Amino acid sequence: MEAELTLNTAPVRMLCEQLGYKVGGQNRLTILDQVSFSAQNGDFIGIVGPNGAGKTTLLRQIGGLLQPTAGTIACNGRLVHQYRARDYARICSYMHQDTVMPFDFPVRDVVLMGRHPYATALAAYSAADYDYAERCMERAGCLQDADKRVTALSGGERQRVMFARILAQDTPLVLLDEPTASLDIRYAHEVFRQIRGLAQAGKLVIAVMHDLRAAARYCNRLFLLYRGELVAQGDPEDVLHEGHISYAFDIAAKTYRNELGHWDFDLVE
Amino acid sequence: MPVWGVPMSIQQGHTTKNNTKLLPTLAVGTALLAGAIILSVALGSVSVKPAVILRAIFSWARLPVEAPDPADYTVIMLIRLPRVMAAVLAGAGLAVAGTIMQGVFRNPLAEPGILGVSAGSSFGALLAIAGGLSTFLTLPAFAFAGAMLAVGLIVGVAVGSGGKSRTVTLIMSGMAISALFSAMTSLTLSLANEYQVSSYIFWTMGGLANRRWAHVGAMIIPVLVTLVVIIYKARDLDILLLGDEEARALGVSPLLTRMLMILLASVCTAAIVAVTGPIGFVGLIIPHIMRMLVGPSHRRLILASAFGGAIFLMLCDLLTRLFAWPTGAEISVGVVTALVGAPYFLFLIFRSARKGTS
Repeated sequence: MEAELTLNTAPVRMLCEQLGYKVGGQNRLTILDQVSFSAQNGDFIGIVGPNGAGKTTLLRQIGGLLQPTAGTIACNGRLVHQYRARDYARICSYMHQDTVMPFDFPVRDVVLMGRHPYATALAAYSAADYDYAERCMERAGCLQDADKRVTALSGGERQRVMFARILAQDTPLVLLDEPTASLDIRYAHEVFRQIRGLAQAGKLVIAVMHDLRAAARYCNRLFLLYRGELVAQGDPEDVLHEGHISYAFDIAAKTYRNELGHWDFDLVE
Repeated sequence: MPVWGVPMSIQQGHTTKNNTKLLPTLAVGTALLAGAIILSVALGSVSVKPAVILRAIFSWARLPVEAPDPADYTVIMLIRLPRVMAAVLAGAGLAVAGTIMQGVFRNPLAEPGILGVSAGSSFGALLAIAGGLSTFLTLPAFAFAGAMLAVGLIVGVAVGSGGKSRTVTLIMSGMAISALFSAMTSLTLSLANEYQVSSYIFWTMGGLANRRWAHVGAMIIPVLVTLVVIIYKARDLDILLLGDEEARALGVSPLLTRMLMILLASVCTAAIVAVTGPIGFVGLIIPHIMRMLVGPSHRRLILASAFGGAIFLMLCDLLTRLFAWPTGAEISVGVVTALVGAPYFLFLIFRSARKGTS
C-alpha cells in the first residue's frame, strides 16, 4: 500500500475566532458557541466529544459547507465562505461519513473526481490524473475494486474509495468526518497511519474522531467539544484527562497506559 | 443519502473502462444517424433511392451534380427532410434534457418536462387554440411562452423562498405551479367549444406531421446550445450526483450548476414541445438505454443520448408514416413512442426488481 505520492503541502493557516452557529427561528438552538483556535501545516487534529456536541458542524464550517452565524473562520487570511468553490477545493478536501451515488459509476471514475478541481473544463482527465488516481487507490487499499461499480460495494469498501478520492484531491488542508467508521480494525489502522503520514509530510489534517484510543494514538492535537463549546484543546493526553472525560461524556472513566505503553481508558461502574 | 423514487439499480449492466472518450461514440452515432436519415427520407408513399436523396441535397447546396426530378426534389427537400430533421432535433433534445433532469434530481424517473414545461406549454397551446390564434407558428409561440412562464414561476418560487434551489423545494414548487396550470387548462377546456377541444387533444398527442423548415429553425438553436454547454459541463453534472455538499467540496457550486442545467434543459424542452406537442418516453427511456450502453459518465452519456433520441424518434415517426400510407390513418408519433417505450420500461422495472431480490 505504499505507492509513491507527491504531496501538495502548500502553507495553510486556519484561524477561527469566536465562531458561533445557531439554527431555528425564535428560540434559536445553539450548535457552536465561541469556538476559537488556530492551526497550521503538520498538525493532525482530532475533534472529539459526545454526540450532538457540534463536531461535524465545526468540520463543515472549516470546509466552507456552512456559513457561521457569529464570529469568523479564515484560511490564509481570507474568510472561508468568500472563496470561490473551485479555488477552495484546491486548498481543502472534505470526506463525508458516507456518500451514496444514484448511478453506478466505476470506482476509478469516482476517485478521478478528486482531480476535478485541477482539470480544465473541456479536456478529459489526463494520463497523469489516471496514474495519480491509481496510486491513491493503491494507498487506500481499493485498487482491486477499481473497475467495480460503487453501488456494488460494502460500506467499508466505499469508505476506502472515498478516502482514495480525498488522496486524489491532494489538498494541503484535509478534513475527515469519521474516516474509519465503517472499516475493520486492520483497514482502520492502515487508514489512520496514512492520515498521520499526510500530516507528518506537511498537510494540515482535521478529523472528527469517535474512537478515543485512536484519537490519543494517532493525533498530535485534540479539540474537545461539549455542547458547542471548545472546552479543551492541546496535547491528546492532556485533553483526554479523566476530569474532562467525565465532564464531557457524563461518565466516570479511569485512564491508564496499557501494556504496550499506549493511552487507554476504562469505564468505572 | 436516500434518493426519492424507485430503486436506482434500474440502470445496470454496462462495462466500460475509459468513460471519457468521445470519439468512438461520435463516430458510431454519426454513422447510425446518417443511415437512419437516409432510410427515413427514402421510405414512404413514394419511395426514393438513396442516390437521389444525396443528389437532391447536393443540388440544394449548389454543388455541381445532376439535378433530380423536380417532383422527387420537392418530396425530399420540402416534405420529408424537414420532418426528419424535426424528428432528429426533437428526439436529441428531449433525450438530452431527460438525461440532465435525471442527473440534476439524482432520480431516474425525472423527465424533461418535470419542471412545469409540460403543464405550461399545454396551457399556452390551449390559449392559442381557444383564442382563435392558432396558425402554424403562433401556436408554438404560445406554447413556448406558457412553458417559460411556468418554469420562471417555479424557479422564482424556489429561489425566492430561500430554499437555495434544494431539489425538494424545486420539485414541490414544480408540483404546485404545474397543478395551477393544469387547473387553468381544465377551466379553459370547459369553456371551449367542441372543435377547440378536439384540436387541443390532437395537439396533446404530439406529432411531426407537416413540420417545415421554419419549425426546424425554431428548435435548432436551443437544442444545439444545450448540447454543447452540457457536454462542456458534463463533469460538473457527474459530481453533482454525489450530493450538494460533496459537489461543493470538489469545487462545483451546486446552486449555480443546478440552475444553469435546469434552465437549459427546460428551454430546450419548451422549444421542442412548442413545435411537436408533448412526446412522451423519449426523454425518459433513451437516457436509461444509453446509460447501459456507454455508462453513467455524463460526457459520453449526453452525446450518446442525443444520437439515441434522434434515431429513436425518427424511426418511430417513420413507423407512423408507413402505417398511414396504406391505411390513410395518421397516428401520432407520441402513440408509437409510448407503445414502444412503456413495455420496455416495464421490462426494466421487472428486471431491477428481480435483481433486487437475488
